[in-house]
Amino acid sequence: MSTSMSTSIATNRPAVAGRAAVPWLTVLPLAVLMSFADGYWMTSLRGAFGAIQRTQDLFGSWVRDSTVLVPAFVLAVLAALVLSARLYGPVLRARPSVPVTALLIALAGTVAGLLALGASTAYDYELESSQLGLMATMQGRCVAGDCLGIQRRATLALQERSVVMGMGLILLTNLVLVGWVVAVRGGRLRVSAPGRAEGAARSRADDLRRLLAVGLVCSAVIHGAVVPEHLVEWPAAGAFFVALTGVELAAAILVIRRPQASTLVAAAVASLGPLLVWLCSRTVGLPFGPEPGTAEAVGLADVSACLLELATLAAAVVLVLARPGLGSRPGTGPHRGWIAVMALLTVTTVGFSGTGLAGFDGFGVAPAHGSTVAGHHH
Amino acid sequence: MNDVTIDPGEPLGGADPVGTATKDNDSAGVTRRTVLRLGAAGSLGLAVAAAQGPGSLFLSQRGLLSPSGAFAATSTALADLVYIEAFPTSPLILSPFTDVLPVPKALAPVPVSEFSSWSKPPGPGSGQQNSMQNERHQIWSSDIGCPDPLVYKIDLLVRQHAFTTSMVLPIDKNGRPTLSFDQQGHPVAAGTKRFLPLSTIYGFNGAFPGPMINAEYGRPVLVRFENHLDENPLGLDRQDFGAPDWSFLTHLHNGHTAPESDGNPHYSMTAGPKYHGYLPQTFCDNLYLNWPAGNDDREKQSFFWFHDHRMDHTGANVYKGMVGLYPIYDPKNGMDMGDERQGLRLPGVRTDHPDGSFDVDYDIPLAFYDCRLDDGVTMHKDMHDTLGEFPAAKNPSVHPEWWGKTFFKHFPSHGFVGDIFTVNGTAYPVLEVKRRKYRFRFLDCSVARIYEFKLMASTQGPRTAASLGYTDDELEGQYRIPDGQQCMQFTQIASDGGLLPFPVKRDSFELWPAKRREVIIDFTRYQDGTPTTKGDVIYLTDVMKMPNGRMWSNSSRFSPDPNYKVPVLKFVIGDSAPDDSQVPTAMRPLPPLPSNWKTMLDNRLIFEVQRGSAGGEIEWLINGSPFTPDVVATSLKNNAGKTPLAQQRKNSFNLWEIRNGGGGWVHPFHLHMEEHRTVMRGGKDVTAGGDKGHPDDVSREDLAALDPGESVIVYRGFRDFVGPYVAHCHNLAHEDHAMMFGWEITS
Repeated sequence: MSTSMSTSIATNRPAVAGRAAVPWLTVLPLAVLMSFADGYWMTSLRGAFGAIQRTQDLFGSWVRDSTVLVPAFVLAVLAALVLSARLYGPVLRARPSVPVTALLIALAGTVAGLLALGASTAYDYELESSQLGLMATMQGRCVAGDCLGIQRRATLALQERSVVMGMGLILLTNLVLVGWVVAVRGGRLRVSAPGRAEGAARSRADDLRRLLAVGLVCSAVIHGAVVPEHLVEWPAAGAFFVALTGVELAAAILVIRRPQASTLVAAAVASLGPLLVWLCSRTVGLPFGPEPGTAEAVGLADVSACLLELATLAAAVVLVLARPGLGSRPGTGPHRGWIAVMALLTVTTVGFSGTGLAGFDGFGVAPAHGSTVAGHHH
Repeated sequence: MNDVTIDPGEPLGGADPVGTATKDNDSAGVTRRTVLRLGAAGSLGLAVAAAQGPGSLFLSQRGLLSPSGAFAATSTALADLVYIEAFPTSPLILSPFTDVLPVPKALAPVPVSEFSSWSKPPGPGSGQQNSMQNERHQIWSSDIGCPDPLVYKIDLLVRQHAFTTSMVLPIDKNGRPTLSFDQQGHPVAAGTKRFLPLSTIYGFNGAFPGPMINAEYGRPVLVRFENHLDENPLGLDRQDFGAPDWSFLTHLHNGHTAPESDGNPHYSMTAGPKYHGYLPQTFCDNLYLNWPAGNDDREKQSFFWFHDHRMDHTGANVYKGMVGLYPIYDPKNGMDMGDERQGLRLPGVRTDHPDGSFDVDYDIPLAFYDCRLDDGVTMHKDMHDTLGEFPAAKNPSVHPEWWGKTFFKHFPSHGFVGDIFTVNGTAYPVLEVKRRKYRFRFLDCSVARIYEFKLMASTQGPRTAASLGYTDDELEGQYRIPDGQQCMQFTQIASDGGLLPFPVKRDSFELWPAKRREVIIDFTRYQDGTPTTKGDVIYLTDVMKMPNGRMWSNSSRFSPDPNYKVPVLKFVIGDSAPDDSQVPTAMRPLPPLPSNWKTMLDNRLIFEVQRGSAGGEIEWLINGSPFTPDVVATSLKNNAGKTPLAQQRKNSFNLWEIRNGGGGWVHPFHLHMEEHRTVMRGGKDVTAGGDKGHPDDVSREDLAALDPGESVIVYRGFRDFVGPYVAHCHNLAHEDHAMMFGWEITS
């Protein structure tokens, strides 16, 4: 792609030393608009068909969930722009390029919205299914055979219909929104922006280090968010998460400022350690603590943290093993670099929403008097 | 992409950054870019204007003008796309206002000689409260210094009921003549006028409404309710609603009774029958002490009703006929004893009978009930099919053989409202009244319908809604009086909690499910002072359009529809009659509120009614939980940071908050056992009567009327008895879908 883009720009514009940067003034408005518009439908669908525990304070829920999803939509818009650039080059000149790119953005946003809707719906079904089980034990009479099974299948069918309905609504909304943004911009759309000259010096190793540092910070954010919960439950666990958060933040700083092999090894250890603890706690249970030997439930926050730790572990290992080669290879470019960062941020915000902080009603978090059990982390 | 070099000064990414289109359009004076931008700005402006104009109006009419309101409205609209609920259109009653309004007579008690010979006679002893012999009355009448109770016996029977004697014309949802069916399900040609088949009912003593017990304070009543629903001597088709196990559980709404006589599932599932209700061939003795809470005269009430409360099937059983009436008089100082020559001199001429019962002329209960009759083509389908409760019906299915009989399925999304309005079991009846004052006791025993009544005169009289061009939901009520004009006022004298402190003149009043309102109507003159004359006609008219069980679409409080005037009961002025009654200026004072009630706010109990889905249906929950009959509910976190159990000490008082969390719905929320007084509504102090929409907030009530998104804080006591009670929505489709919670009084 770099060759074609170079050619394209070289033939159309005066050459200036620099790199095509991410057009944030295009990406962010589109991502925010789609996130909140799609979030409106997701929240409304939840209000119509969702589990009762998740149908309160719909406005607040919409604001929180849509905010959480912004990185996912940034990721989607960036992906669409990369694809568009591959098709049409960094400058959209040909007649169908703008509508096609707008369509790509709307489709990418729809994919992001649908993934979020699907996850939310699956969680609703899980809650509703549990509730049906509870109610079945109370009603105590069923002459139709597998009443609970029938009701669960009916609930599943209902949720499937809601996803199909949501798919149409989200797609239509995104098409209208992207079209409106393009219209506001006078029919123009940017897939890239002028870059800074110094950016040209970035290597693949720089990109990976940045990714590693971001991943460590993201992991620290989630671990820091679960400190209060664990302090209440078991102070030693709280202290562990305080220490882990500190180590991850320190490792992130060192990875950027002193990217030595020892630093990278430390980052790998800081990633591997909590992963092993998590694995143990979710399979055989920790041998100590309030409930030794008891496996804990898997929750959204801990799964998100694990994904981040896997990413940082992989980045650290690659950096350690292929350091000299990576330093001489050019970076992947700002678009792809930001896509990776946004993927990490998406995992982080979704995981953060599962920590129960700031009133999120998200996955695995028990609302006041709800029947769900909060997923414990590590 | 990382090797791209570009000119930062050059416009980027435009399809035509500085291209020919601009130049081309410049020649026409307007660029394409400008057109696009103007279009975008215009569409945004239109959207904002629509949101602020019609959108805001739409939301405010439904009480949804709040941050979450738009979501609630959208959720409702989306749910409507999935929860398809089809209601039949009932046949048109061709001769309305010809059947005479049934005015119930007082039920006679069982003589002592008779009940003392029963194999299990009633009494205060252990095991005497029910046929399972595992309960006793918590307080017997002698414990409070009262005589032994009058004993009544009411059997639950399978019988038949006619809502009208008029011929009917089968019509479809567009008001056009349509097919009907005979009892074998064979079609009958469209346009054929028919008589309705009788509907099968489960009735108290086999009647709908069931018997009326005229009770008095200071004179306890014991009612033996005996279940004979397993017997079907007439071989009637029971259709597909009503408790499938034929159990019952009778609640005296809202008697101050012990749990074993209260008829609530929190009790029945944990004690006594330890089941949803009392099964066939069992009985229970409900003891109504007719004794005010705390023995405080200010807590006396004036009109109860009793109805079924069987868990999960209350709506079906009530709709199937389990309704009875229980006016209660106060003979103390002759204050309200049914004799207009004494005490408050409220309308009523009392006739005492030797058996201890009495009747009161000019004092008439009016029980309002709406129903739908099967059209033979509407699918019978609801969640009970998944439980296989009526296997013979083979639902989902249509039932042409049930044409013209009552139709009922749970409709938890839209609720259930009928399109035929009945009074005392008769559709569109007529009552000839004397030229004098009457006392009417209004009761809404409908599943979900809310009424707003006015007294209207009409020169042209009723016309069918179909003939006026209405279709579908607008056919509800069947008749309209297009030229109807208000001609009289009501003088309201009582609400759920009994006599008001003083009478209130009202042009109209709302009647929510299970609520009672008592009014005096003076048939001697119109509101402008003109005397009435013999033969004059006045229509009791419903002006609240409620197309489904969710809430009204139009009423006096919210965008009145001047064309919605449905006559429900026709009064014909007859001869003059002696009238010793008076409209009093003062009646029963309210029990005082403690001066420090606001200091109790932080520790109040909070319950939020909520809406969700389960089993492919809408479900109604409270504080996130379905009704769990053996569990005492937990409050939401209050301002003191606590989540207390719904558990109160005997003889204590507290503030409870009930929040309506289900956007776009109204909920008539009923709290058993003692009357409450609303002190705050929507966060505002209403102790001085601040809310115009709910003028009864200053009276005692047993049912909090919750508009969409509204919350009320009520002050109430927990006196005299201990044990389990419930609170629940009295939209019976909601109650049967788990919108109920258990609470208890501890010693």
